[in-house]
Amino acid sequence: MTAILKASSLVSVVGVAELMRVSENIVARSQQPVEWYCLAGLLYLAMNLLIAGTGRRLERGLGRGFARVAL
Amino acid sequence: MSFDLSLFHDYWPQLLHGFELTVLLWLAGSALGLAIGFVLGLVLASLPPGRPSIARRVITAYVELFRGTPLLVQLFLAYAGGPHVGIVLGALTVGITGLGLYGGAYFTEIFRGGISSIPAGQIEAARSLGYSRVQLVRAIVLPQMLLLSLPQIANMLIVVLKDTAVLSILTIPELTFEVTGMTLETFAFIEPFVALAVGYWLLVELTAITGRAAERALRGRLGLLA
Repeated sequence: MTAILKASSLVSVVGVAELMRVSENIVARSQQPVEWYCLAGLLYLAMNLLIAGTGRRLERGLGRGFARVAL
Repeated sequence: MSFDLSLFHDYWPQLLHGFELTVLLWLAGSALGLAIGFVLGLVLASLPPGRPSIARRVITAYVELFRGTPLLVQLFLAYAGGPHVGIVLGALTVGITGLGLYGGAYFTEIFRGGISSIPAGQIEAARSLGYSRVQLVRAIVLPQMLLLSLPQIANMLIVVLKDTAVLSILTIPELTFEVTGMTLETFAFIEPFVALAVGYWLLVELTAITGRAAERALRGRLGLLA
């Protein structure tokens, strides 16, 4: 799921005004790539952390009763 | 719509060169990613479960950061944003380290998952038989971890290969960059992009076949039935 979310950034190449395309447009106008690409990255990160966190909670819940050990 | 093969007459040296560069970027990025993932995966698996530690926090932050943002964003930030904060890197350097760090985050999780799939009883048994940590890792953990991770490693190698296409936006003249240039010069779109797809598909199939063969060979060496 996180892979599909991130692959959506590639849609910007064909001109769809999604998060990445909008960021590129703002950078083209403002000449501040660090700030705007960081913001875009953080937005993607926030969405993905939500997905990954849900996955981990499920893993913990379903793995209850299995022994875990360190090397 | 006809399929005009004569288009490739003038372009094949360029396409071949792009193909070579794609393979080079793929191998370099994968090697870097595998090395990062192997080390960090082993470290993660060696930390006691359920107890917070700085190492775990740092590795988790790395994985979440690079796995949680698109490669496109990471590359733009390093290549376009770098010079604004005084870091000027060449396109090839950004491309290979970018691919390596991106793939490394996934490989870390792949190796950690491979190790955690080994039944805890085996590790406890080895320990009670007096195995040292190095012996335990070399004789019990690594062979099984490799076998358990092989399908996912092959899968991730394929992902890294296809992600080399993203490097074309850094003006690295790999296969996708050359094919895009060809479409702009000839106004032909079907032929170049079909050639592009075939180029990647050949490499992907090769990887998939090699992965399955490696799995069979490893199973044989470990004395497991297929």
